[in-house]
Amino acid sequence: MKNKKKNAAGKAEVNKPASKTEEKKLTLEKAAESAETAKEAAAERTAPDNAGKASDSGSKANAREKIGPDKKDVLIEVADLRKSFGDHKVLRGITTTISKGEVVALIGPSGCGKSTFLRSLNLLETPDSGIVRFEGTDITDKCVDINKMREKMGMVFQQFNLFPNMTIKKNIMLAPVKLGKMTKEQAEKKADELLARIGLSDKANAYPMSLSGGQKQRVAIVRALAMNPDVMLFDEPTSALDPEMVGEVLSLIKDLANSGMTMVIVTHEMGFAREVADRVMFINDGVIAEENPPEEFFGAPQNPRLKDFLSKVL
Amino acid sequence: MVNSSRTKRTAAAIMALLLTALCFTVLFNTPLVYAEGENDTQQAEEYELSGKNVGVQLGTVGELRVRPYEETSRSSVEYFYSQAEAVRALTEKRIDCIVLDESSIMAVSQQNEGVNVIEKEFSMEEYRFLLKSDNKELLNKMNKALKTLKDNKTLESIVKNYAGTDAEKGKTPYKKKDIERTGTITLAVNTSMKPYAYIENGTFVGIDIDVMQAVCDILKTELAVTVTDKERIASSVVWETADVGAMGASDYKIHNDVKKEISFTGVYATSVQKIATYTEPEPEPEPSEETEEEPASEEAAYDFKGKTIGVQLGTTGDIYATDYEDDGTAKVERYSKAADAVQALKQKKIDCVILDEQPALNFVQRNKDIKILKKEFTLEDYALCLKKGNKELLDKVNAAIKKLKEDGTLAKIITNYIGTDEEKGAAPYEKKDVKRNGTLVVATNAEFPPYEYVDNGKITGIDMDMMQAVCDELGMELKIENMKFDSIIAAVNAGKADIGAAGMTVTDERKKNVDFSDSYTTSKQVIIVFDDEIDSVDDLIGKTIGVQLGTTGDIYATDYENDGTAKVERYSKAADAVQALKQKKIDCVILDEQPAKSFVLKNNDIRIIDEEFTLEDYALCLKKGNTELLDKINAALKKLKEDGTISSIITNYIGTDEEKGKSPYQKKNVERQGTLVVATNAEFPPYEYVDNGNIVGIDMDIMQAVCDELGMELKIENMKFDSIIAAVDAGKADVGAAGMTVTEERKKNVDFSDPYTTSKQVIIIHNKEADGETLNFWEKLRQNFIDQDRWRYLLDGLGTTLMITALSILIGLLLGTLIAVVRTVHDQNGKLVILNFICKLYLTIIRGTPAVLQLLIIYYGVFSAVDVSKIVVAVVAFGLNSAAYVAEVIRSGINAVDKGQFEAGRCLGLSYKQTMSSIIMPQAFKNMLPALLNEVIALLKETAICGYIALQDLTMGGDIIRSQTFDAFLPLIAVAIIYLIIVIILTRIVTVLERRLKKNEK
Repeated sequence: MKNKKKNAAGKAEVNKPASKTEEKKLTLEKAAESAETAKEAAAERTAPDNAGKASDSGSKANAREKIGPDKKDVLIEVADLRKSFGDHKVLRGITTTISKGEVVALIGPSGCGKSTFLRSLNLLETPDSGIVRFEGTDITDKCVDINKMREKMGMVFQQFNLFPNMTIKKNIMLAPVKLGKMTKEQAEKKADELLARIGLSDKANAYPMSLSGGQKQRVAIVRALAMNPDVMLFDEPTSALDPEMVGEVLSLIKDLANSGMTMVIVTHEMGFAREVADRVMFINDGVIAEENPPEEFFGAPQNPRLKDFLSKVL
Repeated sequence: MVNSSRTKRTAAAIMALLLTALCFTVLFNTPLVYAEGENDTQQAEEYELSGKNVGVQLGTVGELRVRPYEETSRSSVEYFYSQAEAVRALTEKRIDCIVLDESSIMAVSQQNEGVNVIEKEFSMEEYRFLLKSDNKELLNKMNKALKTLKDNKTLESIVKNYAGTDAEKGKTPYKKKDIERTGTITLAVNTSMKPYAYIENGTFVGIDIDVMQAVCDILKTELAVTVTDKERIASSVVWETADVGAMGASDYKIHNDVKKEISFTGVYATSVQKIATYTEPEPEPEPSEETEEEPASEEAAYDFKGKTIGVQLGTTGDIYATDYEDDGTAKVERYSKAADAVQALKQKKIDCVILDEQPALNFVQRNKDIKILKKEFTLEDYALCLKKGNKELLDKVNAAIKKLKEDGTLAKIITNYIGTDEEKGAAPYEKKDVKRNGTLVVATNAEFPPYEYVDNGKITGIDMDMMQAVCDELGMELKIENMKFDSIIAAVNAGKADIGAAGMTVTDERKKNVDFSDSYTTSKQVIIVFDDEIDSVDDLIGKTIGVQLGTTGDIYATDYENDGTAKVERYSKAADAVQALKQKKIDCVILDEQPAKSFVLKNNDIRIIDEEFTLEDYALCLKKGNTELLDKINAALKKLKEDGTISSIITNYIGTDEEKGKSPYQKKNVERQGTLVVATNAEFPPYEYVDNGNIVGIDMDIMQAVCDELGMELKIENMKFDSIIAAVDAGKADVGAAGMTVTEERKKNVDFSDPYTTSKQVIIIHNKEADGETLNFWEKLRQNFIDQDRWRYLLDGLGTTLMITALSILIGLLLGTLIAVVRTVHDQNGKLVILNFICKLYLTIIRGTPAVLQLLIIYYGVFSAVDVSKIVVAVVAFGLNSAAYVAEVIRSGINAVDKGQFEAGRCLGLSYKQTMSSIIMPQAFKNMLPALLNEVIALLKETAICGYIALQDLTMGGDIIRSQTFDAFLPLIAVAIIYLIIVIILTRIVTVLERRLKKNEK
């Protein structure tokens, strides 16, 4: 859930329910209070992991000093990320951090580099220069075992990418079993749980071909969750869906966000972003043009191009 | 029962009578006169040679006897190599007479009209052997032996072999028998006495030699020959340096003292020399009005039944042909011009043309593909026609014709048009400068060369010139009216023309309408037929010749091809060439005589022409420089020749029907060390061929015999003919034995042993007489597959094909997968650079060269030094080949899988390998399946090239059947059907598999 206090911007909280959105925020805030404790407990739970991870990454050969005010809470650090495709400079120096439990939404017109940025986070795209640190480890370093890193980063694709030659259950179980994270029985149990959570238990032995788009995407999300990732990356998760099915997927993502999962979502669903995100980023010309919490982002955009974009979309 | 014994006795009595009669005839025909010693020579009384030109044949007694005439300058002597040349000189009057052996000269006179043989012989000689007087035992033995040889005609055949007619010479050489011998008889001869005793190719030959050899064979002793001067032959017998002497044709007179101590055997040969002169045969008798058929030609009369006859409208040929048409025997096509009829004949639209001889000759000279039958159709006279009752003009014309005949003008006119090439056009008739009164209108049909035709706008011809001559005689102007032939008589009748001159014959029908002059010339109606038959080597020009690739026939035929005289079609098997000939795709086949005979025996719709193409020796080929083995083999061959093994092997395969198969060569039981590998092309009966799954034949038996001599194991490698020399050169075989002739080209690459046999190249043509009994379909089916269990070739071949395909595909899949993985990894990750380069190189080479080449390179290059089963070679070659294609199929299958799948896998934390194996490959496999199946099918069909390394697969099985039955269609179809069935089965299996896999995704 959102933890505005973590925002480094230092903006003062305004609790006046000036608009509907603000009302929403208040109710959300309340929920946030309760969630916070849960979050802290969760944080504690993960903290030793993080610490362990930190020490792991620290023990790795080229581990560098972590930047940022709060080491324990920063999950991903991006410093001066640059990427070109041929002559086209897509990313021209992105610097940002993503803290634990934060939900960051990436908004912008097509081709601006949001997907590239997202895919750079788990090295699906290799940056030309710059650093990407995940839980303290510089994953752009060649010596780093990227597979291990990726185990903790779940990704959900626009085209679902379920494995057509396996049943749904197998899809979910494949990675955990193969990577030795769980035994077959454990994996199966987990899969059943996850399927139950999304209400597709009856589809356990079905093949992806027989599912609807929405069902497929929810399975895809759940498949990623089976690995117990620390961060979930969503690359336009609902762009390929019928409007009717968009809702069910968004609702799942929302639940996920509410449960405290750190997420980076590239999306065109403005309403959803407003609702779910802690921070919204606008990338333009290869840099972060504007970055604000949703009410400022959508309510009072500063960047002229963002204004332009929003006027067309909203 | 009583009857049977009586009949038996009567039969016996008759037999005895017949035998006695036979004996008497034989006895009376051979002069068994024990005359005293010397050879008698009698001078010809009736014909005096002195002062004459005498022709003799070299190497005959005639030469020996006539030579003195030349030396004493009484006659001039001409020497000829063959009787035929001597005869030609005689008939062309270049010499006055010829002297030959009696039998030869009788044959010559029979074949040539005008050659007269002088009854009184020029010389008569009897030949006997000399022995020492006290050697009575040997004398008796020899006489007995000589009698036996006379009785069984051996003497006669030996003499004919050396001194017979041109056709007989050399045809019946005496064969030394293979028997046990004790002791030796020494024969003294002088070797300048052709054809009695002389040296040829380093051996003693001649009538005397062969007769003594035959005697020794009977007496079971060895024959040794010593050479001495002719003066000393008798003395060497007396002084016992020799047992027997042969004076042969020497006319040396033995000294009386020596004579006392000498005895003579009976006569073993007689030589009668006769003289023949030449007188020109008389000219043909006066032509009669009736048409007569001359019995001059030996050809049977042309059978018009069912044929289409071409004639020129309105000619006598037309009239006669109409008879055939009316009684329904033949169809008649009428053409307004003779040239059109000939054209139609050339195009085979009609079967024959009936035409006057002269124009016919004219046409035939200009067209090589038509010929005139020997037997003429009719013989007739030409006359001019005049209006009935015009007696005055008729008499004048007849008188003119008579004059022209007598003063030779007519003959000159005719010769000017139809003489020899030198005579033609040399003496055209010149219109005379005379006073002319009145015009003679002559109707003609100027489309009948050379009697009347248009030349450069002018009407000329024999008849025209003759009419001009007649007009000159009669002092009238000549006017020629050209019209259609059947209008002429009408024109003369109507008075539009005075005379009709158009090579017209007198017929009763015509006589009704016009009067005829005396005949001015005679002409023959002949039949022209299409002539594409090959009768001699010269007829090969313009034809299509079939040969077997890489054989001597091929080499010789190529000469024709190079100077453009004939087309050549090359076939890898002799049977294929014969097949093409049977199907009339080619005109003839040039092949070695023995295999040719073998084919002709099995096919009565082909035959061998009399004139042989070449005569040649066969030898074995060995690797160049392998002198040790070469010497051993030559020594072995020599021994086998001498002890008659080789001739017995040859006779076993190509002797008479009685001899064939009677003396098969038996492999000897000897110690063997090492193996002799012999390369052959077992498609050349009877030298090497497959019989019941074994490779047999003359060459194979000879090689077995050689191996028995050398004490080695024989291993036979069957391959294509033009691969043999390569195999020997590469060391894959030690010896090549395949009915191979020694040529300069081949000598560059291999060494040859001594020749082991001689063979003839003959020309096989289609046999027009035989219509060919064709088997019906079921009989063909039986012959091709059931007879001799031929279906086994297909079954075994199929097994081999399937096995090779399966093993190769396995290798292809394994190796291909490896390569595909390397390539994919490199494409995706950029790793494995060197391996990737190697793989790319491999792919480029394999996919860039034909599979056949790869197979051959692997067989001859890679596996040259190693002795591996051909199946292994094939599997390796096809496996490597297939892997290249499989690799690309797999790679494209992998690439066809959506990239997102890969990303998803990686993002879950799976490594590259795990992603590929669990997620990508299973999906890729489904993509690849159709393409992989295509590869299997392609591979299956590609294995058909196994035959190049002589691996007996399904295709080759079909070929073997084909070479045995000469039926091309059925075995090929059967093989094709089998391949098709297998492919259909394979396709079915994969369709089911694909469906099952697709199900998984639902």
